[in-house]
Amino acid sequence: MRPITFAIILVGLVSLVLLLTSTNVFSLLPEQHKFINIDNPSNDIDCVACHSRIRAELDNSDLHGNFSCEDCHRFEGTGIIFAEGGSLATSGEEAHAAYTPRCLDCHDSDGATVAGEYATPARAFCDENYGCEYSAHKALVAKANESSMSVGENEACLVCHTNYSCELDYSYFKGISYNLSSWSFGTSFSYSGQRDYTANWGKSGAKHVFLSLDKIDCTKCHENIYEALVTGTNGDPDDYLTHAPIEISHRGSSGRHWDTGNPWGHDRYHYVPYENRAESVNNSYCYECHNVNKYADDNPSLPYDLASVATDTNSSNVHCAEALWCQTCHGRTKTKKVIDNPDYPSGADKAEGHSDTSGYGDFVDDVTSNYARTFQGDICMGCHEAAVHPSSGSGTEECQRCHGSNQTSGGNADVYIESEPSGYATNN
Amino acid sequence: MINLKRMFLIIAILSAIAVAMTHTVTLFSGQHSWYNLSGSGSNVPCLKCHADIGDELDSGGVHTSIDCECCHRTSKMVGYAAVNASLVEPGQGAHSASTEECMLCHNGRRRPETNFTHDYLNSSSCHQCHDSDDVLLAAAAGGFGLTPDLCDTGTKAAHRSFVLEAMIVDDSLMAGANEACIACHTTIKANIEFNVSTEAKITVNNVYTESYSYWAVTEITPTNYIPYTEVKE
Repeated sequence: MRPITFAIILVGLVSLVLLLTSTNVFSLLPEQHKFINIDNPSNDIDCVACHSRIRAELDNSDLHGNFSCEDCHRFEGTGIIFAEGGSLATSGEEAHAAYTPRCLDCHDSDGATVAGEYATPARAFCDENYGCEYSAHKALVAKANESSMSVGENEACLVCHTNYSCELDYSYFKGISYNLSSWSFGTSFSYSGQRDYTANWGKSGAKHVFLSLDKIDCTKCHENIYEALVTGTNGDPDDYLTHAPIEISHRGSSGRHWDTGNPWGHDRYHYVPYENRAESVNNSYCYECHNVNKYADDNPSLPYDLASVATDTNSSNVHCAEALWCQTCHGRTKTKKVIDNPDYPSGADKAEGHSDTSGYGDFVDDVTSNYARTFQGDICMGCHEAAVHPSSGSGTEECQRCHGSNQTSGGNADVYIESEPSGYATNN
Repeated sequence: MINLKRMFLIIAILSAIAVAMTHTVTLFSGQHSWYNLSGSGSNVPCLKCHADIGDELDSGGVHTSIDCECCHRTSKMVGYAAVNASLVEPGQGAHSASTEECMLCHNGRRRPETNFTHDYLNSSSCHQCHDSDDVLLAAAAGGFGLTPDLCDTGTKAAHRSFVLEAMIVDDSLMAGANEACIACHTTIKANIEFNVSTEAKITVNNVYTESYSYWAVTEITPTNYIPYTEVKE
């Protein structure tokens, strides 16, 4: 017998004897009696052992990536008593190892310092009753608080501030029509149809990947408006780019130019140049109207002063966007009220503004008072949409539909306009 | 020098002599050496069979100084086999040991509310759990709403559903909530299959009349669930 064979047989026999005579039984779940030391007066359990995916998400997060699990999930600012080890062990009360934090626990009106960083208050949603009614997303936050999907208002926070995806199923009116006669609709106003629109902001779905503020893209959730601004109604040379009013002026470099020049002597505020529309319609564009205060702060070198415009709005009292209407800036007492045309103070081309009592009355304010907010933008766009003012026109008849033959008396225009994204309009 | 063949021959002869002697060789030596059960507590050395568990306990962490019986022969609801002076208890719910809930000790209850009994423990094991002031040493596992402490609501506990699910008897691997306890408090390996939502579906309706309108968020529901597995090593 070769030595190696003999050695193998010997080892085999010894192993068999050991196996047959061993008194140990095998535990079903090994290491269930290997208890982790919890002597420290804090958490000794390794959260990441079970939640490594969340740690990986945080490691790829723009914000909060430097936080430990305990920084948020054992946040001490809530008064919650967590279980702790140590010589004087603490029995947990509201939570044992961890709780699911409400974002506003740290981002409340006082803010909080977490891991050496100051968590800024989430104005205005951290305020009583989520702040003023002008916050555009207040209904979302309030509904999130009612929802059982997550704690507090977190659903609303997550869909904007993290990579958690969202689908928004909107329903709203399809179109409105009215007859404008001498700056009054009489009884002609009506609405019709229902539009269902789904916007989907698809992201990775990771709730612990927090987005830097510049990555929160308004146009993803409000894709219908983006679509209206970028493509309008396809196939028309003068796209029906609703939600971006032209500012009517005769002061172009030649002929009619809706893109440049206006009575205030600066580039048009609302209008998106035809080129690079897809890029130009971005958060900054949204802020021009929906958060004037932020837009002014973000653009300190603008050629026009927005300080007084900002005070016309409620933009300093909202979270990110203000629910507003045209009258907010263009009403009779507002900085940008619809003014008389300074180029033609008299004569055939005289065109008076229609937010002032001296001329066409309080037309803008009347619209605000008499019609639902949801219709007001489209009421204005029925005349201020570029497509109903074709640049190839002879020059006066388009004006006359609203302004009358002598530009001082109200005209007569039948208007039909559809909501976003089509924005299709007729003005005859 | 003795060669290999000669050595095997000697061994064979010695073996034959041993077999021929009056003693027979018992297949399982010691099977007739009975333990004396007249002492208090368990007199059977659990570690003879469960040395691996002894090693686990000795490896550090908590419970290192606690005998097996302090956990496995302490339920008032069981009735273990025991010899108590001349009285022999044959055992009811269990003979030598029961698998007990962690919460038997960590439920924050004191006598007489507790189901813990010292009746089957060795009198020398008192100080394994109690110091000289006889204070309760097993900290209550509060924060799940399972202890009698009125402040222990567990309403904010992130793992409460895990604990409550572990307690469901019909689908139980272990006693009580033990699956949840040992998953975190021991080094046991665990595969955790998560199924998480990656998207919220939000329904937004514009409610309007001619003169009044508002946006109503009518529903927020989680959707697009994806599964993934965490392996705790």
